[in-house]
Amino acid sequence: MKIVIIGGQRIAYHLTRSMISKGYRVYVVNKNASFCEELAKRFSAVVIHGDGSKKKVLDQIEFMKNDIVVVLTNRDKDNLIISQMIRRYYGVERVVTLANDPDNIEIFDRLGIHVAVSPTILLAQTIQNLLFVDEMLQFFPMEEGKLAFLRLEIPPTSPSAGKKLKEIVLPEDSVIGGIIRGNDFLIPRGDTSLQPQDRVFVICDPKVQTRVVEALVGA
Amino acid sequence: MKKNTKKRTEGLYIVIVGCGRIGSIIASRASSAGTNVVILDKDDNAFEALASDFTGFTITGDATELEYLKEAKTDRANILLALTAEDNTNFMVATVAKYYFGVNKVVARVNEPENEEIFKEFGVTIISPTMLMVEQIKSFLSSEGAL
Repeated sequence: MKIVIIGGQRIAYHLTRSMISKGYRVYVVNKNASFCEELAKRFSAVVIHGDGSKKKVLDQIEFMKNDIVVVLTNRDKDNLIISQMIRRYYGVERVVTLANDPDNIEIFDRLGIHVAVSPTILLAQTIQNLLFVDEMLQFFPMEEGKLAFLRLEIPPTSPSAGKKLKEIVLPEDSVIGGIIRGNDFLIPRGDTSLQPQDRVFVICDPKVQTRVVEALVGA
Repeated sequence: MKKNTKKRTEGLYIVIVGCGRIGSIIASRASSAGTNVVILDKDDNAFEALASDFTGFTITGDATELEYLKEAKTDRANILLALTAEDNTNFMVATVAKYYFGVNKVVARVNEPENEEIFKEFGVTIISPTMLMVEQIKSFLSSEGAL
């Protein structure tokens, strides 16, 4: 098994260094000649100078089905054709593709490229986590942001502390899926009352998450 | 049966990506034949090549960005032609049209013969200017007894 990194500049450089230091065999394909030279000088990677969207360049890599390929050019159309060639020509399924435009995550998925990463989306999620109150321990957007999974801690000041669940008004597109109290896991029922320090797991539409936080944690 | 065919032709809707030498001629001809045409190019000046009686719509934008194909109502197109000079652009536009927008007939210009295979793998009908030229020249040469 080897790791093949196609295109990209700084991410490709640091990824090569990190993977080599972990003991993987790394192949790099890059259009930029001076970048290739630098990489070949510094790391024991196999470096191929050429356009990764050309079949004759890809043919130089002896792909194995269990290889991991990372496609990192700064143009999504190049990333798409490269990923499709690698899947179809060499039967490699573990392909990680950079989506420079976050809209293309969905497009790539529809075209069979299921592991697309978008730096924009990763940064947006990180920022969103910072914007939320401290009590919100975690926030996982799922299914391209159609669903959010929240983990909240109930502070003593919460408007819901001491109330039964059936008395708490939550937005319609949300549901409490579980409660951790001390070491116990509780399946919530209407009669379950929330206690300070409870950790509550909520599944909701991302649009109503601020209202969920207000209801359970307080404004 | 005949009536049906006629009806379909009248309502035919074509999206063309790339208003270069080939795209502009095809768009102009299709438009004057009464077909509804939308043509996209990322360069605003490219549309100057269209015939003066062109009655279709033009959209300035990079067709590999989803919003422009949406703006072109690609989901309603009967045919999409990806005719830019860049194979990677044509591949993305063609496969997005076929598998995201569900366009029935998708045709792409493929400049590099080595790329024909990947387009075929994804069910895109290809037109190769390189191979068309080669065939023409070959038939000329063989008529001259040189091949």
